[in-house]
Amino acid sequence: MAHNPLDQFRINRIVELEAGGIDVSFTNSSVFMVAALIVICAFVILGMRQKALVPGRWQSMVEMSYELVANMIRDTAGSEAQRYFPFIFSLFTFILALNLLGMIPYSFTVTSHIVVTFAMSGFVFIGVTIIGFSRHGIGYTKLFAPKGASPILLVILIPIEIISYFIRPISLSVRLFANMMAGHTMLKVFAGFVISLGMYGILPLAFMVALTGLEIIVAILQAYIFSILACIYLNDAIHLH
Amino acid sequence: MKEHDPHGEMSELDARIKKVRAENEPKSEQSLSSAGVAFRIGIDLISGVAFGVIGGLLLDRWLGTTPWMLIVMMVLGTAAGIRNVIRTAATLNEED
Repeated sequence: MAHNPLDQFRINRIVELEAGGIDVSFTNSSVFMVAALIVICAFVILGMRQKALVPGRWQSMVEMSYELVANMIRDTAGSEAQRYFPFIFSLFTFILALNLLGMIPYSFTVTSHIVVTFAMSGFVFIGVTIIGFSRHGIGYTKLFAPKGASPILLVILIPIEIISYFIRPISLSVRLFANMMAGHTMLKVFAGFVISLGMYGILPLAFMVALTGLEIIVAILQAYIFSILACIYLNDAIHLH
Repeated sequence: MKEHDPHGEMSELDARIKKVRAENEPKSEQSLSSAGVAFRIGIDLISGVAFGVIGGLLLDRWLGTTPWMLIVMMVLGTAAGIRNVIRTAATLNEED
């Protein structure tokens, strides 16, 4: 049972709760979300405690993460999008913390569940659509009609554009979920080989060391991709191409 | 004697402000590592086809028009997936 590589994704209720017939139990998934929040708050608040003009090591790490997100927003969505900085920064640090916490052995990876990633990407999708309509009114629907297309082609193009708009939150969530889940499953499968091969288990063990490094890169990269795509969608809503 | 020219200074300042503003405008997408691009494009294409197939099957079950909505939606979904890939590729090409 413990050898099942999918066992790590099981959700266990820790405190059973129910509100209006809906199961809102505090699960191991919730524990890691709270842990991620604590890690982020500790990282930022304790890092900026000194507020030194010449930052120390920790403070410069906090400042670097701020600048990374600030530059990302400016380069992809322009200076007008800077007002959405708090949202993008929270999104980036939350996903990054969840992904990296999941790399600790025996821990739980929250982002390997599509409900979580789809909730986040759905939130981005709805938010961006509301921003688009509030800035451009009904003119936002021009996004679906490419400029300079003949009216006959528009009959085909408009459904395609609408579908491609609705696919975005799906591909956004599937990308994060699939990468995290595939990586962690692969790690567990190879861990199983280490035991069953006995002495020759050294080979999969060596492979797992390399794979762990790769998984840490994927964890950081996926958090970055998720937030940069949120910025790109924001850019479409603000500038309307 | 060098004349003090506030107007010239102002236009110089104006040019500098314009330069900074231009830097702050959205450029084409920031250079991602190639691994990031590969991750993005693959899933974009697949999710288009998957959305078309699942949406088509559900519409067929609801409207009882098997298999027509599946055929139409699969074609549209695939086209939309390719459209997303082209959009990503176009922003990457602008950079070069």
